[in-house]
Amino acid sequence: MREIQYNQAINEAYFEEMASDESVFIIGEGVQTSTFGTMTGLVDAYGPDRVIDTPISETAIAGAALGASMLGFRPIADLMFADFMFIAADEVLLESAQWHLLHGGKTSLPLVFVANMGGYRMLGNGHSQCPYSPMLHSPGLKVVTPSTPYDAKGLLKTAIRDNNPVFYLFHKGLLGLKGDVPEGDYAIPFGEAKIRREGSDVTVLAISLMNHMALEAAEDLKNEFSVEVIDPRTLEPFDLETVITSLKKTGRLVIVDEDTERCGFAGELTAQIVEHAFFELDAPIKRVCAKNYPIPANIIERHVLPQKEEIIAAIREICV
Amino acid sequence: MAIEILIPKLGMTMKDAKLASWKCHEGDRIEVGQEIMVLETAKVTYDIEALDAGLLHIVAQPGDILEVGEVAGLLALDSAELASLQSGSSGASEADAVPADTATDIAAEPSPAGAIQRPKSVRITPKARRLADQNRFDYRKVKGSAPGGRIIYRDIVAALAAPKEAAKTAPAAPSPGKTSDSGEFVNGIRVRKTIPLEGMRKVIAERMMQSLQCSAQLSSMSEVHMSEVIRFRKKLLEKAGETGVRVTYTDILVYVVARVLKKVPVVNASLIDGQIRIWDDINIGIAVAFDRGEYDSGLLVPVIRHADRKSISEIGKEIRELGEKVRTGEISADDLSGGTFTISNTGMFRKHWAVSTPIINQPESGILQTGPMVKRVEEIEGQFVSVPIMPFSMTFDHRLLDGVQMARFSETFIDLMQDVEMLMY
Amino acid sequence: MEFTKKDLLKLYRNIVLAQAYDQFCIRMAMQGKLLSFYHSSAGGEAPGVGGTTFLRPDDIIYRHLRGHGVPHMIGKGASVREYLAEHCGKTTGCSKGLGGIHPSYPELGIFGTGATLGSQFPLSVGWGLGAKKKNKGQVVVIFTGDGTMGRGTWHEAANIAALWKLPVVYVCENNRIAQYVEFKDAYPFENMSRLPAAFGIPYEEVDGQDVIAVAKAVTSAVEKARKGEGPAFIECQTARFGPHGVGNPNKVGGKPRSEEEVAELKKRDAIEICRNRLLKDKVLTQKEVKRIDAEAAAEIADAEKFIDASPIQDDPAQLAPALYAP
Repeated sequence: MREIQYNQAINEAYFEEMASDESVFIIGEGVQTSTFGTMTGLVDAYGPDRVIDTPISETAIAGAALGASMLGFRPIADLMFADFMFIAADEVLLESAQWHLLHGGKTSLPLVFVANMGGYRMLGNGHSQCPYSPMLHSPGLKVVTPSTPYDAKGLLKTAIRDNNPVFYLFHKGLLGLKGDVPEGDYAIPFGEAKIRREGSDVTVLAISLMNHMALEAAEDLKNEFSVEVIDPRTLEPFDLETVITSLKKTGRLVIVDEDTERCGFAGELTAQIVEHAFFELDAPIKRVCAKNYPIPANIIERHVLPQKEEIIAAIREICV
Repeated sequence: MAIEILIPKLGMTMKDAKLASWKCHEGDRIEVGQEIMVLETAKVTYDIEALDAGLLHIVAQPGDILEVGEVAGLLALDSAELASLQSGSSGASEADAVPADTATDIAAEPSPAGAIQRPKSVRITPKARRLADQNRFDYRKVKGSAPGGRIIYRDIVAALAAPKEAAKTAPAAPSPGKTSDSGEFVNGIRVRKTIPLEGMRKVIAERMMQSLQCSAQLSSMSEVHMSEVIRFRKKLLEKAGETGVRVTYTDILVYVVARVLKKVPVVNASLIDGQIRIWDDINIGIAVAFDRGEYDSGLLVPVIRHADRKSISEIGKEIRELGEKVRTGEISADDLSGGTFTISNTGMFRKHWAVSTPIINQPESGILQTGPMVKRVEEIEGQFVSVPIMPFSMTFDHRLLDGVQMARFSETFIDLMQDVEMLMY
Repeated sequence: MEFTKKDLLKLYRNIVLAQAYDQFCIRMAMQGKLLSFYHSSAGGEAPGVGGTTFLRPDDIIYRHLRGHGVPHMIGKGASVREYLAEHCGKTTGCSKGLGGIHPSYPELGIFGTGATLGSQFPLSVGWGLGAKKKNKGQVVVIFTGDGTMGRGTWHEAANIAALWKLPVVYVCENNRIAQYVEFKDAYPFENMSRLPAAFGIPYEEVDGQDVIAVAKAVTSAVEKARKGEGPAFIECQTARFGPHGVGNPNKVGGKPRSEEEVAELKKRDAIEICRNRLLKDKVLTQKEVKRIDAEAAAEIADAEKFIDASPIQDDPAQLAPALYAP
């Protein structure tokens, strides 16, 4: 199978979906230029009416997606950095999520918000967020976090085809990651986690970039413990069943989430496990998350953001 | 530190109880909910369940009278503590008690002299605990391999697989409450089964004997035609939907007897301390017998208070409730006290006509035992007719009552049963 | 442009209905039947009615807050009683009783509303872009109050609407008071003209108590937008006779609103103005006035019956299917 980069995989998904469905268009700041390599060649292939550059107006970009999706289009609103979604919080977190239910199910919004997320580039708190927690806190909005090129392409296709608002978050640290991606059309359903590495001593649930970090940690520990690593792929819908099945085997869980620890997804998952699989736990649940500080724009960020050593330490602590 | 087994307060007026017997041995591992001892009060015997788990150290002996709240026994956490209890020390001191690598988190604080403290909960994971519970395994003796001595899944797995340890401690004490099929001979007669006289059986034995010894009991018997009552009951059954009670013969008996006692108050009396107390309250006890295994049975007499003021459906409801309490073991001493007359309806488990000499329930002065309804052919106005009749036997205390009063009671009872409308008179 | 007699009668009917419904809503709000708040359109019926009566069914609107969009729904031909049933939380409401104040008539271009003032502006970009792409001549008419023009979303939307020549007409219902703050304390100018002008959007000011004048101005702007000439901005100088919402204090800047001012404002009642004009022009007779009033009353009575007979939406089974579209 051929290997392509993560950002190329995203690019392919755009190409293919725009080819097969005329109602798909992209709108955002600088989308014709494609600074992350995800939109390369699109404006040449489909023209500026379907790859639309805008002024710096996040609320208008989000509003464009909302309004056009009600008129039968499948808009993809690129907000560039996930951090910027807060500028259009009303549109992204409230309106997109609530519209279907509050209007009696008469109008659906088949839109996608796209943005990069994540740190480790010393860009500081305003350009390093993994802000899926408030998204998950707005029922009605789906959340997708691919960690491989294969997943990036397949999940983006599903997001575009979904008749509901989806926030697709690609990690800025994975753009150049190479991986096997088959030619042609395939789509990955939401709500299906993937076991990246099988093991029997401990379950590690790790999101996006953290999944790679967890796999490295598992490999480092291969002579000490048998570590099972799970990639959720989508956070809403979330595949809790796969995690519980794994937990039945291992009895131990480490959650690796790059987002800030306090009130984050890792805490949510912990509560769900306690509610639904309490008696499978043979050790306390460990969270490896960003510490509760704004992310500094300097090398010191490594003392805030999760590190592989912390994953290793967490595993060692509970695998006794 | 060891957990105390205290004498519980089981009735409103209960102050003390006799420890009739232990149902387990010194040193036994006790689980929560296990029956461990039998307590007797004046009215009732109780089987007491353990509220905690541990190794039993017996403090009070069978026959001891203990006050509510007194310590009957102790539950030790482990064999080391049991040994120290048996050797008479007041409680393990920090230095010589649990070695550092033993399972639990108990008593990080030194205990004040003489105070017995409950141990903190043992640290165990949910998964391990579930496995232990599923196997009814007391995990408190397990040494946990996780940090802080936490017991984890594999510790329980290992403990379950390990061969059982021989009991380290208690010398085999003579065990009361132990039954045996010994195949022994006594006076040349082979014994089939030996059951010690204890608990409810013992209470009944003593009371029955005492009743006959302290009073002058005379029995008489008679019959009553039941067609009126049968017709009346049928009518009430048709109304069961409205009243919510399916009336039984016992309900009717209680109703009638209460009103008979109202007309013949001298029977509703007791001779106490040289005085004949004629009671104003009419509280009718109903003897309830029940099986307790192949060789034993039990007897309780719950009381319907003020039966003379209650309607048949009210009496019926109350009897059901009390019956349920007897069944579930929730009957209280208060439910069983204050009776002034007793009815024993044996018609429920007998089908043949019989004569009887029921024993009075002290300190009452009369008891009515009714038998099953049987058919009899009689001549009525030249015709031979099949009539339903119910035999009944009565015992009265001749110290207070003579034949005239006894007869008046008996006749009034028959009259009212055979003409129920006269109950309104 | 000239309106036919039929057009004028339609306008008149609609504005009579708008007033009748407004009084009905105030009554229901005070009875506690109308959930959430209610902001009366008394004094400001004309912009909504005039701005929607001659739109196409597939033209898209976002209603202004005054009267909760009832004047706009009347003009658009949407079932007002269904909307008010919705507003009372009934299962027969346009949003199944789940939305409350949110209208939902997608077949009439009423896709609904956000919950905050100013959410219409980003939506105008999306609707305008979509309408332009579909190329069926659909126009988007966005109603707003003077207060809402303070939002930054106006700026982003107007900029892009002008830049891309989106078929959007912005109708500002300026009653010179927003909640408890007067126009003069909200803006450093006298009217909205500078705001659209900043983006080169054509601006027109009309007498907002004259429903015919409003209809003329909006229709003209809509026709231009339909031809692809881009957005327009129409400012209707109108009035608010009562407080911000039912039960709110009738105050401005902490002090009671001036009774003389309100009395002056009430002299220019939009329904009266229209009626008098049409009577004078012999488009309307007194008999027809009575008939139209009676019909309005009958419609209100019918709506009341419908609403009262409908059950409250309290079925949790409605929630899960409404969360996501299939």
